[in-house]
Amino acid sequence: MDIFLPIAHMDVNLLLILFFGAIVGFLSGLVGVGGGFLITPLLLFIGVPPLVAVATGAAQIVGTSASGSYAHWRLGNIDFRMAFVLLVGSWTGGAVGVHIAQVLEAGGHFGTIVTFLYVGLLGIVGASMLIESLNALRGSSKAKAAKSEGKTGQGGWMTRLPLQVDFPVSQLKLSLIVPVIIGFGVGILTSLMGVGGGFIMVPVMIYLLRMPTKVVVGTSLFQLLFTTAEVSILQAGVNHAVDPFLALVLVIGSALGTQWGTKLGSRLPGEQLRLILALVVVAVAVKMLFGILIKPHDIYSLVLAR
Amino acid sequence: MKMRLVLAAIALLPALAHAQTPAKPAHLVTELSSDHVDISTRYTGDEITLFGAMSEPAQVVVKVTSPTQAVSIKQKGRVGPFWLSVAKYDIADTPGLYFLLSSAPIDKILPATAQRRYGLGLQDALSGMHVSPTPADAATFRHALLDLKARHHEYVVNGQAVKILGQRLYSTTIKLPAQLPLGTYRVDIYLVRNGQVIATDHRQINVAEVRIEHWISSIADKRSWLFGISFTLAVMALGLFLGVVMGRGGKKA
Repeated sequence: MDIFLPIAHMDVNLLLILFFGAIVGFLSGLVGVGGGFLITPLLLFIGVPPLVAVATGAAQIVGTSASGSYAHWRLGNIDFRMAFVLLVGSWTGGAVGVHIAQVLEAGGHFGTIVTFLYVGLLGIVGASMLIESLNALRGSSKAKAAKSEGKTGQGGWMTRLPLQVDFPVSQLKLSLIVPVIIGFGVGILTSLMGVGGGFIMVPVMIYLLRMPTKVVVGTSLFQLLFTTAEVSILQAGVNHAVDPFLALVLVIGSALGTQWGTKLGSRLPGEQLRLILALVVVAVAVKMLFGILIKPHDIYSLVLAR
Repeated sequence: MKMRLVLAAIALLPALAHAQTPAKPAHLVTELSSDHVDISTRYTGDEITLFGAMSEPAQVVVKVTSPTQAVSIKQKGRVGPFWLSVAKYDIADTPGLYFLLSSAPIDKILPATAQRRYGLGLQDALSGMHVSPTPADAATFRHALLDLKARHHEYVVNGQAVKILGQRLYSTTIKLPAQLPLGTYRVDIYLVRNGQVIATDHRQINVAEVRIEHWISSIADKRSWLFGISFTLAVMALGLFLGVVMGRGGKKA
């Protein structure tokens, strides 16, 4: 069942894309991470142009994070003040990132940058997940010790920054500068890599901002939904790079996969699952690295001008 | 299919009967299995059969030229331990597709001067080409472009693609790839004998996007902001809907 993608300008097998969406949804249902960082590499592997892969990845996350945000909003698990402050940063970062992408694409370097960013990001995320899950498998006491250690250190420097504001829902007093800068970084990541950034935002909220765990996931998801929405709009508007069919099929696939993953995840041991995901992430990073280390079969390649 | 076409071609023969009377110049009649291609989401390539009859035994050359299509060529090179894109060339004013199909290798049936006069050959396809920035090694670049176009089946030169049946009928198949420029394609047919073109004919193929596909891609292209905003909202709504529908069946509310 082949369809022609109007923006990516290529024909793909519909079932393969549905399968990609399902895999990523399945993993996120299984272990609770977003999984957006696997969509872009999978799309790159089948030859989707890098900018289209990244932009469509952002649009796909809009779809997959919408219902979760709504559920957390209903449960009152969102610190809206914090989310809006983060959004000031991430919307700025997103707009800057989309323009950086435009400039890089015009010069023909976007694909290279994306590959490097992914090798770096997946390498770090995969390696730390691998270490964490191996530690957890060996004995959960050590991992716990490491966790509480991390929690002790909110630096005094943060309380000395100007623009201190109360965040009543999170029971925090914090300088506006910190969440704005964090948001900015996440916005850049979303526009250059097509990821939601939840895998960075959640640990930052817990260990750096020291927000209560109860509101962390909801606030991160809410912020992520509107960051990816902004980036999706800008990528379509500025770069003409969001492929509607690709995004829709991925959203439907991941919705199916998430259900399946959530059901299975509640019955399987968590440590082993995290280990499997870590291995998948590392494998993708290694494959991408080999892609740029090995002499390409063709020195020249043909692409459609946009 | 093939049989039907052959019969159709035979049916064309009476049209040529008049041509048999002396002093009438050589000529040929041509028909296409379809003169239009509708590009829809399910379009992943098409084949158009061209068939016809000629007034006297000769060789046949068919040239198909699509509208121009802007493409870029990326060049990879070694940077430290990595192989990265090191240059990008934008190419304008070359046809997206160029097919030169003949019943015998073109060089064997037409001298170079005649090929040039009728624009038969890849040199002609690239005659209007503009490249920016100008490549340092123009010959290598040209070779790379033609090689890539050939591998994508976008530029095809085939000296055996036209079949001649019973010295009076000919047929060939134009294979259109999944990705192709829209617009009017020109099909030129040349009857060649003794190193000379003795008759020509031409047809058109119209390649257009249809209905919803056309609507989506033209909106995404020309009104990209409207598309971006409405599509993003639609994806959000779809995500909410799927979450609600599936959430009901499965996990906690």
